[in-house]
Amino acid sequence: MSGEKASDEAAPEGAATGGAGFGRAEAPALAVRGLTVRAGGRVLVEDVTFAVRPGEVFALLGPNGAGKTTTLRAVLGLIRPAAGEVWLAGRKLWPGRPSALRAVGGLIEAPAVYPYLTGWDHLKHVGRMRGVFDPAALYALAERTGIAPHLSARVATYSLGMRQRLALALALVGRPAVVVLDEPMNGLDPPGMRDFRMFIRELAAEGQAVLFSSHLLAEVEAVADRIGLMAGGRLLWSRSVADVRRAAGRRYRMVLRPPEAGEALLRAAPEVVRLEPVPDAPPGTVWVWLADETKAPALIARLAGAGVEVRAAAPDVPPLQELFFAWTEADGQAYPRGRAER
Amino acid sequence: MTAWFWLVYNEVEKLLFRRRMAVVVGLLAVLIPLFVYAQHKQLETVRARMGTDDWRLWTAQLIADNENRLAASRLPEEWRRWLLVRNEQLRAYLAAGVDPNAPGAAGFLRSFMEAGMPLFVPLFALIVGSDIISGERSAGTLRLLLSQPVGRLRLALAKVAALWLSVGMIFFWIAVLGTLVSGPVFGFGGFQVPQLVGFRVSGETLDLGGVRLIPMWQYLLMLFGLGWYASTVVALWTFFASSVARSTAAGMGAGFAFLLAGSVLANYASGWRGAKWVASTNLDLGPYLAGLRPPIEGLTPAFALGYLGATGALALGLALWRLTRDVA
Repeated sequence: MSGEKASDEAAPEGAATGGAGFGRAEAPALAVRGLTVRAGGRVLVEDVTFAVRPGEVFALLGPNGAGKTTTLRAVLGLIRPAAGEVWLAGRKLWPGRPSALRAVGGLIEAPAVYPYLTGWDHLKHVGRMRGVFDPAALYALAERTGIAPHLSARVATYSLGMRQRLALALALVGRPAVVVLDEPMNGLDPPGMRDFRMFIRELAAEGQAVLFSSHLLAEVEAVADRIGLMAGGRLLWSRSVADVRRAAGRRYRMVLRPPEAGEALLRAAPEVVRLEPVPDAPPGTVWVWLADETKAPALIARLAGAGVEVRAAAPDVPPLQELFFAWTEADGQAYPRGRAER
Repeated sequence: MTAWFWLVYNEVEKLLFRRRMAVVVGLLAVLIPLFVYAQHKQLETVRARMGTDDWRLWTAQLIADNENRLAASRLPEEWRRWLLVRNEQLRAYLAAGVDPNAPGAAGFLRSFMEAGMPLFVPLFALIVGSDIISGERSAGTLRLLLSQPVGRLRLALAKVAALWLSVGMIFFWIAVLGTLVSGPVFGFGGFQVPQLVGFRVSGETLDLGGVRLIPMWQYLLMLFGLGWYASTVVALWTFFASSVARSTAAGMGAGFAFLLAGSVLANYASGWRGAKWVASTNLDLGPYLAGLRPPIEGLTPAFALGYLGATGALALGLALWRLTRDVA
């Protein structure tokens, strides 16, 4: 298969996500299309499509059992999809050749290392499999991840944090175009998390695409460029972090008198997307989601005209974490398959 | 285009660092002196009973013993046949003026390999190979391996190659330790002593037409070669067990039970011809070379070698099939 054909086929993905042209340089580092993974008669991941450009940090966000890890495993060549394609730097991995894996490195779940080998042995091992034989290049990775002082010790003596650093160094051998990290910040202390965030941003700044998964929105918000929300094995949407914040900003907190008439009016109003009473607040205190914030003054005027007193109306940006629960719970119920996964 | 050589290199390195080889060599270092001592004691006992050192008298006595047993009417038919054959053979040694049991390091290596081939030596292959895949699976390192751009078939074949090389290393250590330990007791000689090969059993008679003398070192090479073949087949079975077993302990237990079944059947039901279809009864390849009774009546060297090879190939094929579609 020629690289030319590969980039042509992968290009529309880039066009869809970034509005880029068909040029090779604009091709996404990673393109996943219609990915479906089944195991034991259950659907773990269904029809997932997304792309990550070079230099971009893309986060798959979702509760446990949403299909995030399964998606990452398919990207790393560890699980065979029932349908769909995975493209890595313009080369097809599924269905295709394992040599495409040269363009991806990553770690899934707990850092997998051999306790009886030293850190340096590990780097040499992976280097041999990826065609990297230059000791200086391998040592540079160890320095970068901070494991260099411990390279001559056997991994059995490493702490969990050190193992994680080693596994990260192994994932970066050969400078893969795509770096895949599954729940990378699990088990890190706060300084470790801060270092890690900076590290991910550094990789992106150098042009590597980073795909990582997390169930913690705060973590994702701090480091990702774009977020893909997964629940029940489906990718519900993918948006830039800025868009997500903007969407969150369309919530208003209103205090209505009399409560019943006000809520009935709001429920019937076409510009109201969602309405919810604020918990632990006096009756008539509600959250109102608007499809378009420019419609807010007209809505308030209409309420006043109908005899409903709007005592207060203010934009009330919810913490993203709260949104996350709302999104995943609502959508999780729509796709109960995800419940069966775990 | 990673050179396959480096994949094998990695696997051998892991095997060595995992200290499985060290365990095997350690076991040999403990057990070989034990066997040397046992053989030494046995030799002393025989010597005391016979009251002589002359092997001609021993051999003549052995033939007479066999004749006496043949005279006993209640001897099972297959035993009768084999005692007749055995006496023919002993007479051939006498006629050629060759002591088949001349002591020495070479003789020790021969008896060690003949006794160890069906169970003891393949056990080492089982020890070395049992966690070659299941260990990686339970430690999670299989994910690290399978996410490398090398191809699963090549990776699996590299593991098989490493395992096969380690079987070779085991035989090397048996030869070295066996010689070094038994030498001081029995003497380092015996490698040039002629051995009779080429006995062919047809019916109740021994066909001596193809019999010829070869030096002991050649005989040992042939015997160790057969042992290597048997152990390689066991290594392939182990590879298969390791590829399907969830845990190393389960794979090793199953492998051990299967090996033991072969030995038990050969001792317990040597008259039941169907036992030859239990592959592990075929591992004892030494008797064919020595012209002795096969472990199961009716077994031929062609069947044993062929059936072992076929089951080994099947095990390898199934393991590779399993690994190329494995999920990590």
